[in-house]
Amino acid sequence: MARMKFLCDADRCIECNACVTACKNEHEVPWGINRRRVVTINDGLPGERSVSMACMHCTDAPCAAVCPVSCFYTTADAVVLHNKDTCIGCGYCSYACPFGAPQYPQMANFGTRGKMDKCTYCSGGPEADLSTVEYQKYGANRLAEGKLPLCAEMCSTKALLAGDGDIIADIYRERVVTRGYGSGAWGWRTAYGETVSV
Amino acid sequence: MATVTALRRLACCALLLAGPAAGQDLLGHGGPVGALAVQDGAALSGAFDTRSILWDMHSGAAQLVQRFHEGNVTAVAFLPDNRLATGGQDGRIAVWQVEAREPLFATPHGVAPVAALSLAPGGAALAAGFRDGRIALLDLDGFTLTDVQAHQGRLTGLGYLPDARLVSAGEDLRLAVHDGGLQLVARADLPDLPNALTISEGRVAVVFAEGALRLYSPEGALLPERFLTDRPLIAVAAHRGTVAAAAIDGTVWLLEGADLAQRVMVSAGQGPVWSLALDDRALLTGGGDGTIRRWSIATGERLGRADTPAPDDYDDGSRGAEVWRACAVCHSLDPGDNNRAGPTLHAIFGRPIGTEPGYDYSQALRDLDIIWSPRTVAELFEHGPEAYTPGSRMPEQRLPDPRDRAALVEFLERQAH
Repeated sequence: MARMKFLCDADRCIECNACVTACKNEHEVPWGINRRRVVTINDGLPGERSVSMACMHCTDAPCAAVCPVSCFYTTADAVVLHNKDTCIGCGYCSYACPFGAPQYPQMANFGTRGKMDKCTYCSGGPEADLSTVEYQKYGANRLAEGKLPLCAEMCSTKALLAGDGDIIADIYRERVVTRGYGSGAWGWRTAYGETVSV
Repeated sequence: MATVTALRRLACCALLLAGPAAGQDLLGHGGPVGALAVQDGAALSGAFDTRSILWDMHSGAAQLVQRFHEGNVTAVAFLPDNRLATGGQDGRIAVWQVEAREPLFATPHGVAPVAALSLAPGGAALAAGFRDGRIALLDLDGFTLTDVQAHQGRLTGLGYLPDARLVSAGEDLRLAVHDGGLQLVARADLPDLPNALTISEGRVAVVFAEGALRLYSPEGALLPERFLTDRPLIAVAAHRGTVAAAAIDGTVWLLEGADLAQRVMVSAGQGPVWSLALDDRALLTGGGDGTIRRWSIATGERLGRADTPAPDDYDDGSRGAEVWRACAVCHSLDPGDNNRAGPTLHAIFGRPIGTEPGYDYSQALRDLDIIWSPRTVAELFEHGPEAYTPGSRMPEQRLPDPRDRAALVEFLERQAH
């Protein structure tokens, strides 16, 4: 099986937020939740860079390490998913996640804890593939249809890459060699314990 | 301005535990301890079990147990004039006179949980950071409240500099410095996701998800940094030239505040260490297992017992015990005062719903007419709390597989008596 990863080339991201919008639309993500967001550092200054952030589907996922009810699991494609039937909405995964991925529905009363929601790498959840209940709980399952995550597919500058880790790392390397610079594959060391060496 | 409204929930009781040995673990919470503070021989903690506890550090005894917040107690602080502050998942800030049965003041329910509390130098105001990026300033005399949107997204840390400027960090990868009136006076970009912040001798110490601890000047200039681990750091505390940082695997580092040279490394052995506090002698670690442990800041040696029994070890190897693990985060099976975020399930069968003494049930649950039996417990997990006990605070949990429901019920029949 492929080892699916995301790679955000911060030298290409133009902060258009198409990835955020595409994700929200594809999965009908509830109000108050964005599974993906774009963060700009050094905004308006020399060295300004934007990064599209979501769950990176880490190799040794910190969220799974701290979950008190063990609701996380890793698929054969190395995608980190969670079971909303088991999640108790405690919020500890959000403190542990290096990418701020776990989101919680904004409830009128926080005494009622909502279930955590996060990027699924467009691969649904533990329910039957492409079922209605899977869509309602987790959103679309594009991987089951043989497609890649929509955020990366929609990215107009191809700053955001999704696919097998070796392949997207090769694409990034080639870019850096061609253009002569690269600020690195943002978050790769944290998520996957390695960088993309050029 | 927020005013005190009717306080619906409070349990305030004396001495839970008696602890003869100075330095022993602080036992009393029934869930991960996410907030800690120490001052003058006392410790204050807040946890997932919705309680805050004031501890006598000498005896290790719980002096005061407060139960007010709906959900996790996420932040605590000592205040002047024998007062305490707590912040919760319910977005409320409560100010307590020590030993009072009700808060002196509490803000209304908020739209986002409290992420951090920090007392202003001089003690006239309390700053609260929220998970939606807001900072609120509470005047501790008149209890007036003002707030600003300081960050886009979650605020992750907050602290006052000695000159009364307020520093905050957020998941927008920004460090923001505000004056006493919450006006932004300086800003710096951060290289990674900050998870917590503290003030160490006039400098800002920030721990990051990438495993780095960085010091910043009050103007946001990067001072020494140190990569401690490849696991996310989630807690930081400082006291008189010592900085402590903790990671999700339970490792804690004690470092020199000046140059971040490592003094001691401790493996706390209590799951993720969600909170830290320091005084002249001891480091306190608040763990995922609900205990607060104490360590020498000079040697890293554990102060007190090294053989704390694991509470609620009911694993009999059955499928039911496996299913129970998720329940155990909120429920105990022990008799007595063992209510956590949920009530103890000791002797549950035959008990009418909403009647366990000492647990503050929601009105919705008290209004139901259910006797807990193997059949009704199985029905609860077949239909889920939203349908079976609507309006209760129990998170939606279902066991779609009838074999899992049967296994859980059999487990409870064996263990919950």
